[in-house]
Amino acid sequence: MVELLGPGGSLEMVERVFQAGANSVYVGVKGWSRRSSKYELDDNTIRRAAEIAHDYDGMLRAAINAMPRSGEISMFEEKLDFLHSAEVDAIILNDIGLMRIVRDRYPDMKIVASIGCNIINYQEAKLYRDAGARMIVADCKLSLEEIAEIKNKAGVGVEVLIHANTDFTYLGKCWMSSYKALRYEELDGKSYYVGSPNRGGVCFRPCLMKWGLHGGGTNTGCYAKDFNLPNDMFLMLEEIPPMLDVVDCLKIQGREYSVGLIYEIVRFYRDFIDECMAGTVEMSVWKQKLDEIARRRDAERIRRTLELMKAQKERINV
Amino acid sequence: MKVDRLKVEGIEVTHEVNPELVTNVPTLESMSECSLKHYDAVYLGMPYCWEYEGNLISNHDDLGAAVEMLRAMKKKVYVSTFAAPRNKDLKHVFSLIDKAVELEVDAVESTNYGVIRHITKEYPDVRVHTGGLTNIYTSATAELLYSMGVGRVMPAYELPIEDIRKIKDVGLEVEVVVHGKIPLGISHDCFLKSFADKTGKDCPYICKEEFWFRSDDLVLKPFGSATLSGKDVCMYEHIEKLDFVDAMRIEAISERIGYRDVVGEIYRRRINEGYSTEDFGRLKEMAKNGICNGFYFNKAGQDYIGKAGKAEETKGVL
Repeated sequence: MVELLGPGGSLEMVERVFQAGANSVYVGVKGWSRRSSKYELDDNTIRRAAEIAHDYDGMLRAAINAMPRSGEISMFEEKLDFLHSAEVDAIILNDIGLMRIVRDRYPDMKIVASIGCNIINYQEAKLYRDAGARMIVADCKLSLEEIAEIKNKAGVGVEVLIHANTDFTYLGKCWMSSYKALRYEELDGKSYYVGSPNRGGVCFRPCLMKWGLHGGGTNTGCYAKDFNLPNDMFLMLEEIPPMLDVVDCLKIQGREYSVGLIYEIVRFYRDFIDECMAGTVEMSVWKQKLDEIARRRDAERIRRTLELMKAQKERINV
Repeated sequence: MKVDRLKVEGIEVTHEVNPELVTNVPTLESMSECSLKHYDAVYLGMPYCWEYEGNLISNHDDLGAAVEMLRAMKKKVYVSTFAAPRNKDLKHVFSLIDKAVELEVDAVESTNYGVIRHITKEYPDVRVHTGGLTNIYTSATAELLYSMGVGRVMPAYELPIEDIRKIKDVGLEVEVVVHGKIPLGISHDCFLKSFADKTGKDCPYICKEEFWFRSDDLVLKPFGSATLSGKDVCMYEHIEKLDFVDAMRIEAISERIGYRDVVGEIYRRRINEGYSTEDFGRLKEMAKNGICNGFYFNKAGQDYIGKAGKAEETKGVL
């Protein structure tokens, strides 16, 4: 049975996502995940989130997947000790060296190699497996055939994002936001990199600005203007039924969206997967429902993008 | 470069530091004895696109000829590999590695953990260098790579100098970019070629032409499936701060022969003879979109901090 994983941008969202039928929820560890601190949870809240998860017979994953500084590895280990004591069921990591530390310190802790690892071939998946990962998140640009080959050859669980975005670059391999407007801060001995998604700050989404293509040398002039560098949101549907026999986990991203919208998305996919498993799915009906959800999602995303672009100009964290 | 001052039994001692000066060339046509004479070692091949015309990673006969040329020039020879290989690409990458082993090159460079795993397992005697896209942020990851037998790493471009030093402390060699356009992202495809109808240029010729993506103050250079910084990272004024590294790279993969020649000559002079106002001015003139420091000082990658420690405006000539 494939695991349905939803986001927990707040304690309220954690509970509602389980009520909507998710098997597990992921939350960001404050100061240590690939999202704004606004959507991360502090230690006490994570402990409570784990209790909620277990009350629903579900699992809680903690994302600790921002790249820390080398000088912060002891802080990472302390945070790891806390997560283990809070009975978090799995942790999501980006740095392969830290995976090895987790594997050696807590062999029972399930490690998920984050989307930021940008795992795009089976040899790479093998190295993450060797370092301790039991599950890897497939890059959004991979085909199901590629995912199946990775899973079979590397012998690891595979998670696929069914609500996410395909970045202009491979995810985890983009430094445009920090090149444009990185701001460094320190708080209580911990470093924060506002504008660097790999390091836990927000991405200012420079790809969604208005761009122009200009020539130089012998090609002077403007060849195109007012385009975005491709960065598209997707909500999967037809792709899901064939995945159910291949992948281990379907993930819905969206810690920064409203609780109401996330509840609807999780409920939608819970019902859709159950109907697929029962073999009674009527795709056109589901397509219509999904279109309505996508409209609401797009409206929230536009608001968030404008907020981030404003923040980039002021170089503030939002 | 007389920069490393140590106190030995209370007496200050100055000793020579001689980092390897390295660059990269994409094709046989881009190799000229004149432009490479300033360098100790050269990376062969353009890692961001198989189709790049004349690419040494795709043309093994040319690669053999290039290795021979460098040997005759008494340079160390390194071979780059495709930066973002999917499952289907691995056989081509492995074939290139076989060829590089047959040619007895001095090292093979990879930015993909799967390829790194393959080389260290199949060819334990082959020296492996990792490129800047490998995402080496922590000493924990550097330790993992060191334990696998990797000889040299290029830390993540986002790291400040003090964190690069921590990677160096692990014990392996460290290489950094001291000048040139650094990658800010890599994707599965080339976005530039979607403008073929507007520019009148198509693959594989379009990225040999000069084109820029511009938005507000941000300029990017599309190059194959990579997106490079529009500004030239320039550490000419600050090179002593990097005195602990083993190799300094002039990143010139997207540049014309003359750039590699002039910049190499200037940095060779900088290492051997010290700072020259005239040389620094020449570097600024050559940077069409201005210069920046990348992330060495925990600032936005496109900012430039001068010798006096203050931000400076460097708009370039375009």
